Formats: sequence, C-alpha cells, structure tokens
Amino acid sequence: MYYTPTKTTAPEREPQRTTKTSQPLDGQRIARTILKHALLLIGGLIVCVPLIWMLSAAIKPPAEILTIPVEWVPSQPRWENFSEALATAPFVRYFFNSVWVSSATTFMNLLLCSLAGYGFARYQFPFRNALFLFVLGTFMIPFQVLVVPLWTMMRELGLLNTTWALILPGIASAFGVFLMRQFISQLPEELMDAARIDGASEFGIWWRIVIPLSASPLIALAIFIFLESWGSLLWPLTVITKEEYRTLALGLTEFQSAYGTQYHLLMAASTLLFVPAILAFFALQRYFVEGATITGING
Amino acid sequence: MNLYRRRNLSGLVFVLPVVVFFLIFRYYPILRAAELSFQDWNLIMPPEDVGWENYQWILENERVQRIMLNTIEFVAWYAGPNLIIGLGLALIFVQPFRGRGFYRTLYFVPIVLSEALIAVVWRLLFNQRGLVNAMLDPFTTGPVPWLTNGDYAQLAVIIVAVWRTFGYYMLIFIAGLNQIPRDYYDAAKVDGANSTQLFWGITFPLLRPTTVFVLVTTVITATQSFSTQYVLTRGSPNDATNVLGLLVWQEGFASRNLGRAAALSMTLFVVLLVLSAIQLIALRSRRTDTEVTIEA
Repeated sequence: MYYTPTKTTAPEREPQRTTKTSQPLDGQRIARTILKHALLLIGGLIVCVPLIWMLSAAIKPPAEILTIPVEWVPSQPRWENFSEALATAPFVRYFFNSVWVSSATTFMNLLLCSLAGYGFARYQFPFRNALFLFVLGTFMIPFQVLVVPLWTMMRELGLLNTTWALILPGIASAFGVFLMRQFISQLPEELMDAARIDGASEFGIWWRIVIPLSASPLIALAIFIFLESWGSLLWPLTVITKEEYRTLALGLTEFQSAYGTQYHLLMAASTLLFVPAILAFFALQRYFVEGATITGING
Repeated sequence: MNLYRRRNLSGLVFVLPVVVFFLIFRYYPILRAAELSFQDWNLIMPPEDVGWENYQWILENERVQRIMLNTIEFVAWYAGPNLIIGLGLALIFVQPFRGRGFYRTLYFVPIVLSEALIAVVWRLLFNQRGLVNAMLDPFTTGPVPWLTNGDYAQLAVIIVAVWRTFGYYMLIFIAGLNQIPRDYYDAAKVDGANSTQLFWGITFPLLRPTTVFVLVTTVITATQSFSTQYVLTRGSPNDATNVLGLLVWQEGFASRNLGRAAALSMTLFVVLLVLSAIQLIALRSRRTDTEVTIEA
C-alpha cells in the first residue's frame, strides 16, 4: 500500500506541502475545513429543503401538507394532484404561450442587439456617440414608469390580450446592445478587412464573420433575456386579462389567487413549472454559469 | 474616401432599428408618463390637467410615505445580505476543494426559477403551520405569524428575495476574485502578510469594481421590486410589505388613478437617476484608486 502511489501524484503533493506549512497549525486547518463544509452544507439545505418540500407536497393528500412536525413522505402518493391541477387551469397552454413569447423576445434581442452592437463598435457615422448614449440611457428607466403609457399604447394599437403585447415592448435591450458592442469591438479588424477584399458586403461581414465569432456573448444574452421574459409578471398582469393568453408566471399567480387554499393543487402546479425549468438548467448549466459571469463582468 | 463614407453610413443603418425602437417604446412613453403625472385620469373620463396635485399627494399622503420607508428598508435588507453572503461564499469558492462545482451549481438553482413560482411556494412555507414554523417549533413558544404580522412579513419577503439571488451575486464575486492576479498574493506572502492583511490589502481594494457593480445592481433591482411582494403578500398586512414598485401598479390598475400612478413612477425614476449618478461617481473614483494601488 505504501508504495502504490504512482509517480505522477508524488511530485504534485510536494509543492502543496510546502505552501501549506506557511499556514496556521494543522488542527486549526482541520477545524476551518470542517467549519467551511458545515457552512456549505447548511447553505445547500436552505436551497434544497423548500424545493423538496414542494415536490413532496405535490403528491400529498391535502390534509398531510400543513403538519407539525413535517411528514416528508406522503402516506400514499396522490398522483391525481397533477391531473386535477391541469384540469383546473390550462397550464399546458400557459407553457406554450411562455415558450412562444420568451423565444420570440430572445430571438429579436439577439438579432437587433448584435446588429446595433456591431454598428456602434465598428463604424464611424455622424452622431454615433450621442446615439449610443441615447441607447444606454434607457438602461435606468424602471419598468414601472413605462407600464401606464405602454398600456395605453397597446390599447390604442388594439393589442391588449394578445401575445404581441407581451413581445413588442421587449424586443431590444440597452444591456444587450452594450454587451454586444463591448465584445465586437475586441474582434480583430483584419478579419473584416479580409472579408471586404473577398467582396463581402457590410451586412455579409456581420452575418458571416461577427455572428459566428460572438457565440459566447450571444448565449449569455439569450439566457439573460429568456429568463427575464419567462419570469416577468408585472407586464403580463397589466395587458392580459383573458385566460388563453396567460404566460406560466401569470397563470400560476392567478391560479394562486383563485385556488389559494387548494394547497395540494397549488404545489402540483408549482412542480409542473419547476420540472422543465430545472431540467433546462441542468442541461445548459455550463452556459448559465458562463452567462452570469459574462453579464456580471461587463456590467 | 467616398467609399469609406458610404461604408460608415451602413453602421447607421445597423443601429437604426434599435434607435427607432427605443424612441417609440422607451422615450415617447416617458414623455407621456411625465405629461400624465400632471393629470387626473380614471380611464372613463378624459384626462384632466391638475398641475402639481399628484406630486403634492405623494408628499403629503402618510400611506405613500410609509411605503417609501418600506421600500428603503427592503432595498437595504436586500442589498446588504446579498453582498455579504455573496462575497463570503465567493471567498470560500475561489480555492479548489472537493464538491466545489456541486455546491456552486446548487446555490445557483433558485435564480433560474421565476419569482412567481418561488413566492407561491414560500407563501405556503410561511403558513402558520408551514415548513418554516415546523422547523422552528422546538425553539419557539407558538407559531410565528410570518405573513400576518407586519414586521415578520417584511422579514419573510426579504428572506425569499435574498434566497433567490444570493447564488447569482456569489458567481459574480467569484468572477471578480478570479480577475485579481495571483502574483500580488504571492508577493505579499513573501513579505509575511497574514490572511486578514491579504483580504484588506489586496482582495478588498482590487475587488471594488465588482463590489460597486453588485451594490448598484442589487439596489436598482430592489427599488423596482414587484413580483415577490405581489405574489407573497400583495403588500399586506396593512401595507407593511408594500413597496413603491407595487404601489405604482395598485394605484394605476387597481384604483384606476393613472395620474397618481404616473407621478409615483416618475418619483421612482428620479430616485433611480440619482442612484445611477452616485454609481458613476463611485466608478470614477474607483478608477483612480486602482491605479494608485497598482503603482504603489
């Protein structure tokens, strides 16, 4: 046993030892490690336990949900909670509304923000800096200022109770233009000149050179916009009064208002919202973490 | 030369869609909100000019003032804990250890769930006989009135809001910490600096851009907070958890006082402009600071 460590692990251990000797006593270090892991574990429980409680309540009979002490495992799983929740409100419809609204909003943001970011980063046209400030200025407008006038505009356009009302006011964002401009201005000029010599149009350079090279900010922006649109409540609550156009966030909120005491159905509905979100998160988690980092550093 | 100029004009074409969009859907609505804030409008009768009456109402109404104080309280208790927990966890996460990736991913989970979903679940968790009171049961004499007592309700809203976002700010702090060159620490260690000195001498000053960013983002986000309050409490009990972002909507679309709602939203806008100005000043002074530190 003593001789089994391979040669590659042995030299790695050596420098670690030397750096660690400069740190406090071994006992103190062990105590610190235990404290660190205890803290992380408590944090993990604080994140997990509410969600596990929701999952377990989703398959409980109503009487077992609010009990002290908590009964974590239902006496008999009540799977009908899901079918009853789906029969009470059209969550599948809400889901597809949300998918459509968030996808369309995200697509338009990627298109418009990358185009504008490219324009601001790479061209010297009159009033460029003034226009860029004009765009950035919208960053600090709280949505609450826009909600009343935008509602009257949507009413005048006859778009109340349509998904267009949900999409239209959010198809571009100052943050997106800023993020794309920062990234595109760092791309090497030679690439674009080479494309010009090969006869590419200015639009062709954007499509063939800039877009393929901007995958990481585009993914970050897509995640940011999609999540924001997916979770938004204030605007859907204002322009949507008909059930068939509700998004998931609005649908769940209205479901709570109407059936707030039907705890088992409420938690089943919440679980129906939770499962696709968490599956998407684990499938794309690398991009989520990267995206959050990029948006944070550039902000 | 002519070719060059034509080429540059295509840049204008590329930015034009976004500029036109912001003109129609951001700047024009602000002007309308500003106009509306001097009017009385209930959607049924045509708007009527009332001068500064709506602003006077904001200044004199006790309910509005209480809600403004609530907003400040919420903003402070959202920004502070997010900053401290986020930075504290990030300091743990910069050094590699077993299970680091697992915990980092786990803490990030709540941010991908919508505020509405989280508030619906937590509303039940904070029920008299919900999970929170079940956990506290051995330590308390009776059930804590989380959502029915004003002070507890405000605390509950803050807990839910921070629970959702601390993982996000942790990630941003980790990214900020990773940008600090390792050499600085090595050099300071050679000079015999201990970990406290390393934190206050290197980490804290060089992390300042990230700290300012997190502070500004949390303050701006919390000032506009709507969904968590709307779903969790609707501002109850007795406006104890009501905030400016929610009041604007209630005045406009529940009470149909669109003029007052507009005046309130303009007030919110001015507050955010002032906060943004403070941000610009803070960022500027930061730049000179870092230069000095690096030279020293």
